[in-house]
Amino acid sequence: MKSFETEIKKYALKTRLKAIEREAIRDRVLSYMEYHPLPKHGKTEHVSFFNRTDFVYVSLNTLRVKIFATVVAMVLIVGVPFVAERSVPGDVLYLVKTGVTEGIRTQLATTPYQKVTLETKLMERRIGEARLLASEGKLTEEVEAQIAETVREHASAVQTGIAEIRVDNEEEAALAGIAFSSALEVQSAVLNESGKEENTSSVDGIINAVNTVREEVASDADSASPSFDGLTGRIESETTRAYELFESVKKSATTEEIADIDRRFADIDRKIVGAKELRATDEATAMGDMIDALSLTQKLIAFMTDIDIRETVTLETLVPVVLTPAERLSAVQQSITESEASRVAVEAATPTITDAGIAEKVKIGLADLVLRIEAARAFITEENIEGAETVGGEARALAEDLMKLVAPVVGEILPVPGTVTGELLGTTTATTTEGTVGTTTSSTTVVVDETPEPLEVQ
Amino acid sequence: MAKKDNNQAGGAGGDSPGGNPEERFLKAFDEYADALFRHAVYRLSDRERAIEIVHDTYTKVWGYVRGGHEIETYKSFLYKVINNLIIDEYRRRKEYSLDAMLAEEGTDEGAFPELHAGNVDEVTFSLDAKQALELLGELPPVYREVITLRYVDGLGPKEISELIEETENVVSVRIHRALRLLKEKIVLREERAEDKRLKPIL
Repeated sequence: MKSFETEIKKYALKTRLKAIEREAIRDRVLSYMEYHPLPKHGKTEHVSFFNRTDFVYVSLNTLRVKIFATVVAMVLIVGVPFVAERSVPGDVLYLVKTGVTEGIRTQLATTPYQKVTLETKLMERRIGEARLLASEGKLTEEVEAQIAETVREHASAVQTGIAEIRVDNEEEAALAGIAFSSALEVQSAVLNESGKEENTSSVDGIINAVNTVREEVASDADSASPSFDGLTGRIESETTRAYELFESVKKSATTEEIADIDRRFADIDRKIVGAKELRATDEATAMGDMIDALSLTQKLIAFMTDIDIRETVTLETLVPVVLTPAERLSAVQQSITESEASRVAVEAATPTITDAGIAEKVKIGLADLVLRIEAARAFITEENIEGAETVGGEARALAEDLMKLVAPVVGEILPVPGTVTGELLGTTTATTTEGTVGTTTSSTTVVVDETPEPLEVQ
Repeated sequence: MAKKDNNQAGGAGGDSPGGNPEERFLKAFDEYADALFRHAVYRLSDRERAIEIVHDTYTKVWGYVRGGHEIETYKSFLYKVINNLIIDEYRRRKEYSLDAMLAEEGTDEGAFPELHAGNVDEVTFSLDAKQALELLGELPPVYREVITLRYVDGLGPKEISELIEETENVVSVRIHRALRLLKEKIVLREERAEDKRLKPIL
């Protein structure tokens, strides 16, 4: 027979807090700690009881005084930290924000994982403050230097946290490193866009700081790659989170925005499926694609969750559309068709060219264009999309330059079918809601001056 | 004695002196919140109030830490604070004071005729643990206190004596008397149940 003591303990242990109750108490205690932080100096001084002056009796026994005192206390306890959250460097309450509120959060982040997350968040906050000041033209060089230094400090704390994680769990450290790189890329994109805005202060110092950190992270010799399975697991959890966010975003987003995000999900899914298929034959490339998919998912999450990011950069900047093979094929065919139309137009204008030098250049250019168009078509027949894109882009660039060359002869710039004047040479378009996507670059260099000579075909 | 679990008693973490005060405090929360809640439930027989008391215990202790005091052992300190809060709660409910109860019983705790280890074993031998827990709320507060500390929280007589500021002998006597009282209540309940069962027949 079991002893009474054992039995009673067995029954008593069944009485415990439900998880939700436990969390609720913990949250309340944490809030209490946040509003009642430890004094800065850490230790209280020993004061003789008889010398204490804080026991002065003040009569507060009137309702008005009590109400007033309560209001003042509420303002100090709740209002000040709340208002301080919106402060920026130079504000009176900024020290409350960074010293008290964030100080407590830092103290409460006890594990390396929590530290990495918090320090990343704080780095993003500093960048956000810098951008806010810059948008108001208030970011002085001195403040910019201070913020850049703080950004470096937070980034350094993140890297230290990742190094601590690495001691016990290399894979987790690698995944944390990917998340940090994604966050840096998002911040870099946001800062670059902010820097382009007019009537704003320069944020170059902050951009440099972020770029330096990005380089450090990219060249970190200690970082290891996660396993394929580890990556798959993390991608699964991140995409699940992203889909959940998407469901809530759908309620307030426009049809175009929903289509845009939906398109990115499709692109990411395609990348993951492709990587899994590729793994058997080329694991290194497959790993690279999986890391890319994870990073894109994290950037998509950042876009959906941070209104500040959404208002500053387009989704296309953060997560560019990746064309499907069918879309790529269609785009290159369209490009060839347009190049062919240009060739016909230039050929028709050739007899009217009186300048022998220009006529000769046009003749050489047309011959080259014909060859490139034929080569591109051959690549399409062979289903070599990459080859078709390269040569097709070159043909397109050449066709456009030839059109510009004959323009003075015919008295106007001949319209290139399907293109807009001033558009990048060799740019293909996909049918997405954001217009120009999937830029391909041309390897052919055709130098065209404002005056139509000289024409060089390399 | 059953093996102590971290939620019930012991464990390093929050009880390791030195280090970051916030970290130690939060570790102490993670380690002892369940045990304190359990203690409060059996002392107060009120789950909702027990939750509030646990919360108040931690905020009070945090206030103490903020005052610049270093807590060497969180476990005993937390028990001390929750014990005081529960006593305050009893006072609010105007339950019996120890003196009143002793006067009522005409018991002299200065005399310890029951103080033989075997006696406790004799009482507990036939005691049903489940019923004992169910009837704990019917015991006077001082008895409920020692039984909870001894059997629910797993504290030894010495720890209990330091906590409630009584001698070990007094603690042992109270435990013995509390068990005896529990046994009487169990027997009484069983008799009533039997009467109830037989009543329709009679």
